[in-house]
Amino acid sequence: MNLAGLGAPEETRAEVAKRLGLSSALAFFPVRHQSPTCAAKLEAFLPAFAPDVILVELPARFEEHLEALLDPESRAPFAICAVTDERSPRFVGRRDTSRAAEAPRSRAYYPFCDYSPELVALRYAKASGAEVRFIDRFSPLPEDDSALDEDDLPSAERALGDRLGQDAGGLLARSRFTAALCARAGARDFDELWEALFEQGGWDESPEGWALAVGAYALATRRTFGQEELEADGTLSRERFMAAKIAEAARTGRRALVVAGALHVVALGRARETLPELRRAPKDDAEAEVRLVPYTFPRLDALLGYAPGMSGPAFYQHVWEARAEADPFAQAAERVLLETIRRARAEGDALGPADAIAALAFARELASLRGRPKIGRAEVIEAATSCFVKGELRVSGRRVVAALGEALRGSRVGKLGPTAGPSPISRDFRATAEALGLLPSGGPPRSIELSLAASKKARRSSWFLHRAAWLGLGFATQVGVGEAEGFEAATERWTVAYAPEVDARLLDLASEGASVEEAAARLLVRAAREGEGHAGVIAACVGRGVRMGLEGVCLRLAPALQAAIRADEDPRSLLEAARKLRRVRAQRARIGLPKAAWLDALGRAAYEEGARGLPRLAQTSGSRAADVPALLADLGGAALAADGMGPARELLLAKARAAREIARATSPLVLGALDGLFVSLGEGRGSELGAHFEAARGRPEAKGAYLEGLLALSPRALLDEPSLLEALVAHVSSGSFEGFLASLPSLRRALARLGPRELEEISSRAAHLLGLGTAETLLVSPLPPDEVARLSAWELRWLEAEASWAGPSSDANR
Amino acid sequence: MPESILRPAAEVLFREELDALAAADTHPLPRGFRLSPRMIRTFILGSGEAKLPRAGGEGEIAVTQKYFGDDALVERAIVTLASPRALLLVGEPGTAKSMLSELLAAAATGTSLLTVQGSAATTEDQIKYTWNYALLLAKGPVREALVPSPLFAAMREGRIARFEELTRCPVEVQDSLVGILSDKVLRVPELEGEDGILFAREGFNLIATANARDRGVNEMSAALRRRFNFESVRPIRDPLVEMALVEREVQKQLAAAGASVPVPRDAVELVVTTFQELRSGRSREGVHLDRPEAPLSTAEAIATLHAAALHAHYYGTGRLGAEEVASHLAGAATLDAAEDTAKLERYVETVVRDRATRHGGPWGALLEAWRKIGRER
Repeated sequence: MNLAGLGAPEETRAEVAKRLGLSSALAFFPVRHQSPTCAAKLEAFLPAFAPDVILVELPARFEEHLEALLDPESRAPFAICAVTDERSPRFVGRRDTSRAAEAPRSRAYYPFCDYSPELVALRYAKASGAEVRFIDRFSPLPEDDSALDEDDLPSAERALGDRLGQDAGGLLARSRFTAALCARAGARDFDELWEALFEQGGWDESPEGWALAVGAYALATRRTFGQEELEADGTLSRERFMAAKIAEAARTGRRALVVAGALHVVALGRARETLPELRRAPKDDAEAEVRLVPYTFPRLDALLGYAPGMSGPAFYQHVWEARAEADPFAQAAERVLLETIRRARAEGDALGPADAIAALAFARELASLRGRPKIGRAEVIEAATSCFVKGELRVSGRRVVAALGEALRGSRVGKLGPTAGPSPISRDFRATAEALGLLPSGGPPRSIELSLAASKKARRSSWFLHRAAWLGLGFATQVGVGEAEGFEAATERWTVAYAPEVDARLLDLASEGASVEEAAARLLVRAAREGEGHAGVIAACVGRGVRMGLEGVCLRLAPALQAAIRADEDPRSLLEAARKLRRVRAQRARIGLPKAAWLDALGRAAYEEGARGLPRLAQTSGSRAADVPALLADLGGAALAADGMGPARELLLAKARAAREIARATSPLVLGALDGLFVSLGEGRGSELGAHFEAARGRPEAKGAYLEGLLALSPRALLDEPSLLEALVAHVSSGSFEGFLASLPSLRRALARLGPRELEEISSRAAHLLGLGTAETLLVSPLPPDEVARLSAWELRWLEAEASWAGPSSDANR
Repeated sequence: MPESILRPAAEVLFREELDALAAADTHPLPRGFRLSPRMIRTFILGSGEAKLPRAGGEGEIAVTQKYFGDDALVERAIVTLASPRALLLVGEPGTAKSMLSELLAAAATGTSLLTVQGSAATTEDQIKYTWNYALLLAKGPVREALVPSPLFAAMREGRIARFEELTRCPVEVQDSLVGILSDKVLRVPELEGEDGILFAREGFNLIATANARDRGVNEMSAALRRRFNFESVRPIRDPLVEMALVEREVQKQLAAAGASVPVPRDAVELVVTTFQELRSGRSREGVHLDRPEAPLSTAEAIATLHAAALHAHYYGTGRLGAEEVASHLAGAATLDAAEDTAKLERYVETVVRDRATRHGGPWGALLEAWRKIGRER
């Protein structure tokens, strides 16, 4: 089926011709966003119609960006980006939820590419000197209008509303209508139907014939909408606004051309007699910041984001660029097929020019069989999969399908000329990224590995990527970062990808500085200021600053951190700060940077204040105590390292002793960790450990918790202190079975800290204590399955009970 | 057509339709084809409500839809056959690959009978040619002693040959096709002069089928793969389409067998739903299911219902009920692996039981019948 086969009755065509009025002083040209055939027809129609004023379906408040949109140095795709705080406007881009310095806001994008009919109209206006007016409203649903009664509206507006809504039908009819058309055209979905009818099928039509066909289709579709539906989604409100804007232009008596969506123009054209009577000044008071940003083909692709656009932007860009040739669709198909082969070959597929020839011929024949005069996107896809995939599509076609998707989508990234900006920070971002070889790409995410010790460039790249991540640009993501936050590795792995949000976010940050470095520094200082008095928070900022290469800023933060260390009464925060500073120092040493005395001094101060706070730390119990062993392990490690950062040994031992007395009554886990600290510092008395283990009573998990804390800091305690192993064996062999089962989960957690060799040695010694030989030990191990099941059920129940005893979670306590 | 023939070829069975299509065909024909690509498509996908004048001039005929599923696949298959490349239909058993190849061959070049059946025992001379050894001994290697293969005949006559289960053949045997498909020439070194070389006539091409379950048994060489366009044939996804097809085919087969057993819609729905859910591994309520090894294709659904109806006809009350369905469902599910019985059992005891509890009706009857059979086993 082609345009002629659409089969609109003669009276419908006459009605549409009347509504469009393509030879009258007020003409309506129907468009679909990002349609190359539509753009080509409009490009041909404009000089023939020679309008004095062109009215474009774009929000009126965007008019101030007209000059920027038409900057000769800009390269499409680019988009008008409207940033709002509350509402979700039309075509909202994805929200950026990455860890960043600030909370994200909603952004709506109005993208333009070379084959956008609206951009074609604007470019013509600039060349011909025609006036341009934007006629749409930004906010689709004006809240103030909803409060109005019908009677409050002037009669002309009521009449207009009636006329705009007159063609409305119903949802069911719409789906039936589209389904019937798809069946007639042999199309599988709406996109294929549109392409078959109006892109491939419309290319050889005259501009007027094309507009009439699209208008007829739009009118039939409009009749399937319900009036309430059009009102509810803001369509009628927008059309009332457009009508008033058109009326303003029409009153000047000049030749005016309205370039708007086909569904709108058939309704607005019907209301043309009512227009001169409209006097009411339209309002559009939604708050938004409006900017122009570069856009990308992947984002333009309907699959990724922009729903009203057509997927496969690279294919349609090829069509547009070849529009002066005899068969631009065939040329576009050829370019996409060759690109697919190039990409698939790079991935290992054995494809060559002969396959491209076969596929192009295939696509041509397939289009012919379907009665389509040109090769469309669907035929390109099917030709590539039929001719390039040598096996089952799902099994053997992955590389080809991926390559085809990339070739259809393209990776073009738009660029803005000097009139539109970019802001200094955007220029700096681009220049730095280019200089470091991290050039933004519109393609899939790119992996980068940086060996920080190997080169200064790698370090500078790392700083830049850390800054980009901190600023929430959505450009760089560090891979494989664990608890140590990347401090442990001398090699960093990142993925980078460009999306329009990068530039939009950079525009957000324009007021923060002229460069990425400046903005990162400013936000870092702000974050540190918000953490005033909290050593852990400021130390985290210092750590982040060092990773971002902002040592100067970190030095400026040092006094604030020093003050926080003195003022912070939370030993957990202090020890956390100390741990971070120590990691920073280790990282600097690992990549060959010189020692920083200020870092050592701050670290030592944090450790010492943290050590002083150990008695307070010992007061924690339950789930809040879970991180204490790790903090004490780091504290002990710092003391043992004797590298100038750790606390004074005497101070540490004195405070730890005091803390131990408190922990006896509060937490066996903390008590065990403190005992472990003593053992690791060479101050523990072996006889005490067994006694402390025995004394850990009260709750069933107490013994395991003690052991867990102890082994976290002194993993060899069970081997080195016989009294402890004896106490453990006694608990296992002579206590009540119920008591043993209850302590089993925590014991298992504790013993899981040991390696296989240590466990084997402990088993052997335990067997000896129990008087068992090696052969008998083996016999004990494999329990019958029903016993294992019973024990597992027990363990599960106790774990649940243990979790409930832990009280409120630590998060809730903060 | 003699009535005693069990299964006539497609070109015989649909002679009237093919003649009417040829008479009405005004579209350009690929060289050597009897019908244009558009008419071949109509032959396979049907003419819908439109009717064509009969070739003899008396009355009109509607072209029936013979293949259900992916219309675009049929179009691509036709385009491939009109191109220099051969067509390989690959998919699970029972997805109508062979039927589609038969219809394509019959419509494009008038015969579907030039077929090589691939197997582990297929030899190169079955693909190319062999000899009448009596004549060979008597007269030596002369043209009349040569026994052409179906492929040889297809090349000579400009027809489409079919190669069933290509990947069941050893790779070296498969590779004897490379030269034929590449140069469209078959050499007979035993014969001299012009007799020793056979140039394929226009219209010649090859449709091969391969079973996805045979993947890895005999992988095709890269050289041979390059000569084919591959099309993956999948089971029908739309339950309503599959039900309509199953119902129609079962009724047709029962009529051919002389068994006047009504096929209730409920029975069709039970079988088709069960098969669709088991092969997709998920029930419509979202329950995850173990996929059986058995293909549970549309063809298998037809066979299951047909057998159940015959059972009712010969041994039962003449009415196809839940008991017959349950009994033959178990048989269908255990074709390939014994573990499939357990998977079907789980399906019945979860999905079917839930539906029986909630809705009763045919699902309740199926559950009851299944349990009764289980008790008898």
